[in-house]
Amino acid sequence: MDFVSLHSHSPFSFLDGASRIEELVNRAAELDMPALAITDHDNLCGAVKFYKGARKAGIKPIQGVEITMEGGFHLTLLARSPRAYASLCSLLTRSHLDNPRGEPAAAFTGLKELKEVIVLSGCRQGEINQLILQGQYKKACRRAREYLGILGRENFYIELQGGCLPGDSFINRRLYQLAQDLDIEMVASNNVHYACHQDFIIHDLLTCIRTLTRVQDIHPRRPLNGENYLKPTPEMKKLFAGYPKAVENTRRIAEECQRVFEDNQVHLPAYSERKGETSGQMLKRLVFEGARRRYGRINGRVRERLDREIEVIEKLGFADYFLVVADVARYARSRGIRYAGRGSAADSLVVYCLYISEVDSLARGLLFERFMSPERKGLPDIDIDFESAYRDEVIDYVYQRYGEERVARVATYNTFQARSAVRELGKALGVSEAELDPIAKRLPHTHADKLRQVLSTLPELKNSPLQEERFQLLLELSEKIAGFPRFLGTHLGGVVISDVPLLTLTPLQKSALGPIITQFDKDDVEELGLAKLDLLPLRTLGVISDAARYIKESGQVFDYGTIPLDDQASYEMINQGDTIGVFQLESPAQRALQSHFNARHMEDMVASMALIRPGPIKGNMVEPYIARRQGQEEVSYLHPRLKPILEKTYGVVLFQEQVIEIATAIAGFNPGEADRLRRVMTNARSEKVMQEIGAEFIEKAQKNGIDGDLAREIFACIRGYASYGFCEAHAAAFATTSFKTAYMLKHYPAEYYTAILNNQPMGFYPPYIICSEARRRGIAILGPDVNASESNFKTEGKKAIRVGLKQVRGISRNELRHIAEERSRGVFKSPQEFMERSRVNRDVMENLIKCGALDSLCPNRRQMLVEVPLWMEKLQKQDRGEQPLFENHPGGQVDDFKDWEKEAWEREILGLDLNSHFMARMRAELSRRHIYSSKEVKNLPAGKMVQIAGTLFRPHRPPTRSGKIVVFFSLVDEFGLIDVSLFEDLYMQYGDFIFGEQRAPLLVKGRIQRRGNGVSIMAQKISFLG
Amino acid sequence: MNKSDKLKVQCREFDQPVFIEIKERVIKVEEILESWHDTGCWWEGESEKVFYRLYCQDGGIREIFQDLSSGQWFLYRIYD
Repeated sequence: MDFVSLHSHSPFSFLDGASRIEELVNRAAELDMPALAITDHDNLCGAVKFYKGARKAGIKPIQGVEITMEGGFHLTLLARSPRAYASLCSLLTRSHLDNPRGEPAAAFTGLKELKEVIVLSGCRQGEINQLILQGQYKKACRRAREYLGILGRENFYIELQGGCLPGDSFINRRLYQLAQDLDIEMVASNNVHYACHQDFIIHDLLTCIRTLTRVQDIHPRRPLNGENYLKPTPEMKKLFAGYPKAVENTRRIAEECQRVFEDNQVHLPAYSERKGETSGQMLKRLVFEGARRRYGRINGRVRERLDREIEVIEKLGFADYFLVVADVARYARSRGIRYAGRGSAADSLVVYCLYISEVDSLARGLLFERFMSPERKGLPDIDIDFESAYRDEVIDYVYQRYGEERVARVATYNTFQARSAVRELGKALGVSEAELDPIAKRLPHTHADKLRQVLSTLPELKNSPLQEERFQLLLELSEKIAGFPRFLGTHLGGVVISDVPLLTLTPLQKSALGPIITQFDKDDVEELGLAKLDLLPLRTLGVISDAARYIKESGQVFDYGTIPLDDQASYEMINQGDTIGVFQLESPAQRALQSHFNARHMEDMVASMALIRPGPIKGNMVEPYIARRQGQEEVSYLHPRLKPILEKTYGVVLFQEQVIEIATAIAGFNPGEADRLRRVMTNARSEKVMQEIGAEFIEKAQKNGIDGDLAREIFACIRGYASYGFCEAHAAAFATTSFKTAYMLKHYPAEYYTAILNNQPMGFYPPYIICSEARRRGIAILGPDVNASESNFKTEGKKAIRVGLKQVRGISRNELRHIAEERSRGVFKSPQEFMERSRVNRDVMENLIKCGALDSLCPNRRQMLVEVPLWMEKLQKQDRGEQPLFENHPGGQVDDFKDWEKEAWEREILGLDLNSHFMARMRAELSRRHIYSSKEVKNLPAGKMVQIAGTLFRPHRPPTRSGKIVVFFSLVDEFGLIDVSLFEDLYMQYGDFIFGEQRAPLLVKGRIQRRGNGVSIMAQKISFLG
Repeated sequence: MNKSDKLKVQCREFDQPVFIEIKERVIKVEEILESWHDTGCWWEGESEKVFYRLYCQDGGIREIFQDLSSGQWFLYRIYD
């Protein structure tokens, strides 16, 4: 009888499994194993992926786990049935939640709760094996009897192992004897940690990473040999020649184990408020109540659309899901927490009428079918952004509303990427950290399996030590562990809510941040049919709330909800590309687009959201769109039926909804078929699938009265564009927020930038650039002052922002609170008095002095620094009752720092420039050398060759249609930013200056380019400013 | 590892030693007490070995190993 591996580890054993799940199942299939069990350490993280992979490979997946018991002993557990799987989840949850994080341990008594679970006595770390190794055979028998008693004879097997380790023959002989003495069945396993023998090296190195050792070190956990691979039946029969029944039993157990997941299962929580009202009735009631508030009067179009959407929602059984999401939004509104629905959900009018989204899908002509259709399986996905400061309050509400046993945060898997793989494997291979650190830092953020590709293409890596022969093994192995999970994390906003206790569907464990998380990621929880809400924190919403508050506090009248969406002053600012700080419009690419796009209304904003995405840029859609919009290119349609669909986007397929409409109008696809076409196109499926759906499109179009050649042409056209299409509902949801933030920046720049500075980290630009932009708009940046600053930044009048004390490096929350409390009792009168009352530590005191926060108490920073130790000593003596209060020390004995020294301290301690960028000090010399500033360049004609200097900001290499590399970056000087681009040939020459270590400001020689109101530099030569 | 004591080994089914020849003396293997594999220092290019602990007819317990890259057998240890 064939052997089946019932004890196998995948990478979800976290550094103890060296082959991907697909490698394991494919190898098992190659070896004609009818089934395979995955038994990772203390988790079922790989269960869903294994289920799908095994079915694809044509073998039966057996779900199991190698659980750690109290005392650190291992047991191998296998699920016979869905009921068994649920009891595994429950046991694992208890083992995680009842013990410190990272130290799961199942109680022996917990085994009583297992239902239909097969238990194998475990590997060498199993309790019985350990007793045998210690020579305690009688005790081993006694313990085995206890396992039998708790589990039942039909559920407990003695596991013989074939790892070819010293002592295996002895242990197996004793285990055989024990099995005979107690009449227990035996089973053979090979404790598989990788699919093939040659992958042993990866396992060994992962073990080194796990045990913090290097390959030369000795550690008991290091594997002695490479025998823990998936062995074919003949090898296993040879290994267990004395115990043929143990091999036969693997097959018998495999036959007993049934699949544990059901397809298309859904676990929606039931939402009910009123007795006798079904969830469908309740949904209809709330939707129409909302519609009356939204529209005043419900006309036929609104009613018809809502009825149709509700019918589909009810038919699919998702009424409860919509009620749950609406309830979360209602809670946020009741608490005054700002939120905004995003994503394709905004295609639904029901979502609009439930006040989940602010996008009126009917008015925008958005298709509900893009979001949901009867033909589409799977739960809908509604994402909502909340003010980040209050998002956790919303999640707390969900826990409270549905019960802690039915709610959990969704996990993410932190995986090996290029940098982490090189760092960790390199260290395991014995490379020093001093050598590895600069090597890893220079690598781009990319997948580990792209390492050789980036090393061969990126010029800044041409001198990387990774090019040397001695690192070839490191590269090869890094590629092999690409994407291996490293540890479990918490998804940014994913929350699952279940109709049944979650621990019957997924094991739960503590996250590093505190919340309880599932052991599955977002894709897997969806596969399990769990309702997932994405409750995302969005700092921009916090900025809006804070800025609105500052505006009102300054005595001005402001209502965010009534911001006019046709405010011309805001459009003028957008059209200048002056959008640093504006939601979704601040990146260099967006600023460049806006400076020649000439946006005039909200439709332009919506299009802008969709245009500056990797897809449209790579697909070269941006320029044709603008040319058509500006009348420089004719707008034509391949068929009159396309005109109403594509008119608003000038004949270009910009939005995914348009693909669905075209498929319906031209080929008569039903909504489900059309959505399938949309998904095939947007998810870049295989050429074969594309051809199949193309043939279907053409055939149906012909039946619909369209000429065959024309149908082919239309299909080719939508195929060409649609793969880059963007969801219009999502674009529309973002566009409104984007314009409103532009309005706030235009009319209330001090308050708006203050809010941005108080919500860091956020957006594209760090505080020093936001401050630079504020200065450019005539707003003064006032230095921190212990008597004038608060913890946060604050506006002073309409034209100044005062730096908050929290910006001072090293200052703690306690110190900030203490300073505020003391100041409320009276202003600080001298530096010494400040030190005495605030009790800040010496480092913070020195930083406060260096950045000028005590200038108002003493103008000589150097003098204060000299005296700090004396003050500190006196303070300590005073605390000990040895000295009276300080005497004021006479100042002026040492000369103060020079201005440039003070500015350098401020930059270092605050992370920003208070008065001006340090390049202002070089300006006279730069001018003498004919090196222009960013301000001067903007007044020079296109085509002029110039030299410009500045500090490098955000170099990046976005995708291009041709596949050639174009590098974009910004130079920062005292007047702001200037954007620079660089083509591939020059990048190959100068890449090291851009992506290498920044030793000085960059000097760029290049030609001025002008597009509309935008100015940039096409670089021709780059060096460090000498 | 000392590889100086080369051996001749006669094996039966599953490559298990039945006779070992040390210094022109052939000794029958009564029982294989233990066997294991050792990959050694793979990072230094060391080859894999398979070890056997043997109870021999002369009453001695010996550990021998085969270097899997060369196929050569060596005496590893003798128990007094």
